[in-house]
Amino acid sequence: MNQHDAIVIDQVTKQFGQHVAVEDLSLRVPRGTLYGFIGPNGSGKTTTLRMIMHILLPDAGRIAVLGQEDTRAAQDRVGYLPEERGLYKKMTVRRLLRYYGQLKGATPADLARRIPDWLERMGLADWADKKIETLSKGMAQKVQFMGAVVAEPELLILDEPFSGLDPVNAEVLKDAILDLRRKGTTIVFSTHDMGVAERLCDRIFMIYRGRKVLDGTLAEIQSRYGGDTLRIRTADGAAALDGLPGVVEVRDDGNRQEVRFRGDPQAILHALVERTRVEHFEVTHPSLHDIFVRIAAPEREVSIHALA
Amino acid sequence: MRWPKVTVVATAEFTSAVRTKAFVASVLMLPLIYGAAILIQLFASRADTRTRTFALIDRTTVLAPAILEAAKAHNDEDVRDEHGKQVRPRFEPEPIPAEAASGPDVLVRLSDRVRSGELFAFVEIPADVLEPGSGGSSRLRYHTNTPTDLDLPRWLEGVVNTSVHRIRLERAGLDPVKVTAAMAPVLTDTLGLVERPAPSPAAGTAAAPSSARKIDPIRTVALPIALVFVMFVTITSTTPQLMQTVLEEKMSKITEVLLGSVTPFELMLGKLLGNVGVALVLAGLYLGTAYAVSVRYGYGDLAQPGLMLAVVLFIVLGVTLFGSLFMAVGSACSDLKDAQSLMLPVLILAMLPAFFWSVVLQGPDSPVSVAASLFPPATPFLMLMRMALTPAPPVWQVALSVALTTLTALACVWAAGKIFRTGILMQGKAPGFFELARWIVAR
Repeated sequence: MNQHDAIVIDQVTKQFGQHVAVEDLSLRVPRGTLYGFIGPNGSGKTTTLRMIMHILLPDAGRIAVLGQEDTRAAQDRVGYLPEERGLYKKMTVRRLLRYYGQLKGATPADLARRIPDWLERMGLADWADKKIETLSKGMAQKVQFMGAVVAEPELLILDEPFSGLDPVNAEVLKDAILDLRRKGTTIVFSTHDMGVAERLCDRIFMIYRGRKVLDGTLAEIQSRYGGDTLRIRTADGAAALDGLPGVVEVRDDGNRQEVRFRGDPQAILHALVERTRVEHFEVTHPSLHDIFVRIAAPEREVSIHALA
Repeated sequence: MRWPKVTVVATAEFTSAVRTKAFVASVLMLPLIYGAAILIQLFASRADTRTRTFALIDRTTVLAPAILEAAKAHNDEDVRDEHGKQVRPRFEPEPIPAEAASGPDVLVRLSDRVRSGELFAFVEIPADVLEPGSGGSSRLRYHTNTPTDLDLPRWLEGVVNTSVHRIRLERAGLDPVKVTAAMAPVLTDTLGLVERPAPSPAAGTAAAPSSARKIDPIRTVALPIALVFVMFVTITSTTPQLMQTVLEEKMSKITEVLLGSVTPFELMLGKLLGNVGVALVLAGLYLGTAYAVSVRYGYGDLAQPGLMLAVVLFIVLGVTLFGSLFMAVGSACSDLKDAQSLMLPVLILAMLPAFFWSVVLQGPDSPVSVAASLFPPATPFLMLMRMALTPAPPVWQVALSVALTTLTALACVWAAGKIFRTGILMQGKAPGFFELARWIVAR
């Protein structure tokens, strides 16, 4: 077992009745990395995270966490933010954090020091002795996050940490996550926000229909999909691209279009200049979002195989 | 098994439980129960002292004077206690003259007067009550709209019988005084057993056997009933809470956070231990208060250490057994409605022993009592009751019942753990009993 890997998943399969949630999955998460799990709803992200947490047991294959296999020995060193948030409504914020921390084996003395620090940092110092039920959704989510980190885990598993947060709170959370990584915490998080995954993650893993479809750094993934993308802004918007030779597909983001093309980009630029005023023209890799859609949109399933 | 984690769960469970309204309510119930008992005592002693006016139709023509005289004596002497406070109702007979009593509608008119509240009742004494041996066929005819009141009819029956006996004896030529003396009843005193006295050092003089103590209903009946009651209240007021917390954690998705830190078994055990703590605190409060009261009235010796130890042991077993069942129900369901229908069998199991209380009380060593007290879900209630009664159960029966209950409790925890493990992350439709059984036997 490699001690440099925080998580080793080896040929793991998990079935629920007839439904195969995760199929023959292998993955290594090196220590100290910030790993993004992406994939459409129901593709097996949460099941994989739950198996890492030993909440679910795989039907086949092996999972080692922090060098420990098949035991809960590493459990105290792993923090977990589940997808479905759960807090005791009647507990005060402080009591809840103390309980969640103690469950992970943190001592009351350590917690008495860390809890006020975290509350201060997340802007919840005034809410320490308020009941959870009085908190707004965003505040409750920050409390949930603190519950996962207050025991100072070596490995942090976050299932959709940013969902439902406003931009200000999302920024606070992002800073906290990056700070933890700087201190050496290995972080795995799942997200639907491709922008977040692109900006934050060292490595990205995509699961689709229970199988691994992407795994690597953003650059590795993008280079695999080649430089077949144009990012264009023109005076006429998407209308200017209609029937342009070489254009395979247009994704319209309103003020900007992402174009998958075949052939010579110079020819396309030339044709475009003749039609309209070009404000921006960039030959680039497809965005993670685009790659995600290419893989997960069912009508394009053929093209994945063509590409792969 | 990591005990520190179990302790953390148990502590959280305990502190949360003692903050709930349900716990506060069950503690507050304590003075309420005692208060209610005192109030009932007060009201029970304060009998209904309204005057009972009743019409008297005496077809024998000879009994009415005796009844009037007895009523006067009653009103003069028996109505008030030594402090002059009225404690019994006055009886005011209103004799109906023979000529008025013969009309066909006299009973209707008297009934109307009872309805209007003018009379409390009316009584008809048949002419043939004086015939010896007529007792079976000829009876007092007492008409009332308040048949539950027994003061007046009982008094009447006594007065009429005394007079009738006297008249019958006189007519038979017997001396009523001698006959009454001869017929004086012999009464029973129920006593305990006699202990052999310790041999006195002054040899030769055989010490007299200790005199048997008179049986005291507080010792024989009140103690076992009180113990079983406390057991019943603590178990039924704490264990269903476990179903609630498990269900709440499941519905608000807390379970997944917890299972990221502890195993399902550790979680369940912690919850059970927390609940045992709550139950012991509650029982301690109830029994402690009862002990203080009993010392005040000279019954302090009832709290024998062995019995108190049994209370603690049976609370631990009872809470474990029923608590694990309730938790299994909570973890198998996704909403309160499903849970309520699934918890009914468990509740019935907890209620069942109540049907056997009187059986055990009357015959602590009868085969039915022995069998019922060895039935594990009933043991915490019924074996405890038997231990407080005489004859005390043989040691082997106590040991067997504890062993059986312990095994059953462990089996319940194990099965509940299986259901917990499978059910806790399940959402949607509640499983049937068949499905639950499948979860239990699954790997």
